[in-house]
Amino acid sequence: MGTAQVILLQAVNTGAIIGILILVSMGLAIIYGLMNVINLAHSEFIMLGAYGCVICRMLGWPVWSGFLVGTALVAVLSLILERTLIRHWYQKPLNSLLGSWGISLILMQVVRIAFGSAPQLVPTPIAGAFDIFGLPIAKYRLFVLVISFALTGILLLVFRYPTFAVKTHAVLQDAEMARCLGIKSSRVYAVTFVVGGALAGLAGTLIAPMVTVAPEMGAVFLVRAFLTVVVGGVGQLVGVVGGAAVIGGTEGVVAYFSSGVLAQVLVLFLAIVIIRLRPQGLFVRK
Amino acid sequence: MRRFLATPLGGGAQALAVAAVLALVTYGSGGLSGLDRATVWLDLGLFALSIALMWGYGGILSFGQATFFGLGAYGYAWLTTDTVGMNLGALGSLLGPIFGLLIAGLLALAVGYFLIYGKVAGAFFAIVTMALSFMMASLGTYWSGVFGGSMGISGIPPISIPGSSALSTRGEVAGYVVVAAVLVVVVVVVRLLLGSSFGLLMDGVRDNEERFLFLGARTAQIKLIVFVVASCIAGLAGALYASDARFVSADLMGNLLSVEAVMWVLVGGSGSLIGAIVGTLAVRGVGFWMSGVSLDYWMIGLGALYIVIVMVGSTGLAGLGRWVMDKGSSAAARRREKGGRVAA
Repeated sequence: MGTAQVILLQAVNTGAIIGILILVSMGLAIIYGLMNVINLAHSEFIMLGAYGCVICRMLGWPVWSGFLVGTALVAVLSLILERTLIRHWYQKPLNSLLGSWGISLILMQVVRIAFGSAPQLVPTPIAGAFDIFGLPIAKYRLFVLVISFALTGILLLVFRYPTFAVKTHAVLQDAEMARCLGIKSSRVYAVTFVVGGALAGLAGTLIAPMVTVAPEMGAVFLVRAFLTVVVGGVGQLVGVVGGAAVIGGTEGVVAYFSSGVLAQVLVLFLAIVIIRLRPQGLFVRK
Repeated sequence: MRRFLATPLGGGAQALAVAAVLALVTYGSGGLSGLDRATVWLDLGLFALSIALMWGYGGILSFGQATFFGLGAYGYAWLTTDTVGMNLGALGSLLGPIFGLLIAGLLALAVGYFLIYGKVAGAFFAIVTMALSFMMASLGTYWSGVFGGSMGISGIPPISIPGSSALSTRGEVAGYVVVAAVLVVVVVVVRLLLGSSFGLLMDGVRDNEERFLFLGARTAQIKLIVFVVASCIAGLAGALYASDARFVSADLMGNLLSVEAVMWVLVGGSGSLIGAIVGTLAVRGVGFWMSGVSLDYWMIGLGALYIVIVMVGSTGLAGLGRWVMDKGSSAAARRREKGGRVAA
């Protein structure tokens, strides 16, 4: 294999990582941006999405149904959590951190009791590889890449769509005034939280065939997403895309040359240095 | 009486009383092995105290303090075992706690410089330190030559004090006395620090950082000092833990311990040093009793405890203690207690 071909192969793999990272971080960022809630149970949303695929496999349903079941499962769960617990923690980031850690522990333990701690197997919906310039490019990775970037594009558009954007911005700036003007802020909050949660669930279903599915699988994605949001800057969703490119890209390249763990550590230190140099985030203008 | 309890020496007396009661209860119910368990809990209590100092008095919440606790534990293990070829034997066991304290402080200085001067504060500080803790734990699992990998490092000797074996065969009693003594000294020193002019600066920066910036105080420097001092205490606690548990693994640097320790502080009432110790003993004690019943369901109970504490917004056990003392006096004091909500 020539150098150019290796680069292409790695580009597809890293692109898939970045795409997933965007989906996870986007959910985290919109929930933080709108409600000032940091949801540590986000990692368990990813994990539950993946277990949605496991459930479908156990029931003998078609592999594709996993995407739907996993995402729907997480969406319903986030709605329940938002209505019962999360809404008490709006605009209280530290309370939300501690409370959602509790939710995260419970969800993880419930899955451990129900499915055991052993890793689960999720079959790939699309097997095989494309032959591009004599290179075997896994079809599934390409699929993940395309789907996640397409969704990102749609999301960026939706958050610019007049009525939705105006409503969320109104709630963001002054929830009380927005309520006086007839915008149901609590509904905007609920919709946002469910969309954010469902994105994490979908990301979980997408990665399920590529990673080890286990109760504690979510943490590593959540940590990456945190760094993405911190490096990219909050404020703008475009920052999330940029942050994901920096974090996911660095990790993908370093992991190719050394090990995954060293890549993680290097990315963390890169992020810490970036925070010092540009506290407002790389992609947010002062 | 109340005035005495608020002084540095009074704090030391309270810590001593807690340690004495714990020793009586655990020795009475479980003998030497009960005392051995209690020693480890007391180490964790010292760790919780460092978080109470940083959070309650310095206004900095970290979700990654186990990084420094775990690193301190490894520091002790490195000086007393052959893992990295620095085995100093009996001398190592005496230097270990100081070494653990130093390396934890150095890492905190490096990380804290970038984060605090990068104006990372509040919830963001918590998540970045959480990421640090997560990465250190995965690095520890991966780098077996230094951290023992997934097996950890076992066979760590206790602190060797001449004549300690006369008290008990495996040194349980001596181990307990050492931790209790360190705990008392740390409480006194921290109370002295809080009462000094630096303590006043800490209070001011916590309550209104911007105002102190305008007044010309180097607020970032003050916060960095608080972070490093607290991390040093965490490292010391970790080193003592290694000498008592005789085993360290990468989990000691991980997220689970990091966040659990924050909860001990919450249970005890953030802003109370003694409360943090009592909170640790309460959660660990109940956990030990519960895990005898069912470990699976204890984890769920632990999760539920976080949610309840955040929802209720209590002032923890310390608030309860103060409330009992205030009971006869004015109702205004009680309202003030209720005003101090969790992480307000």
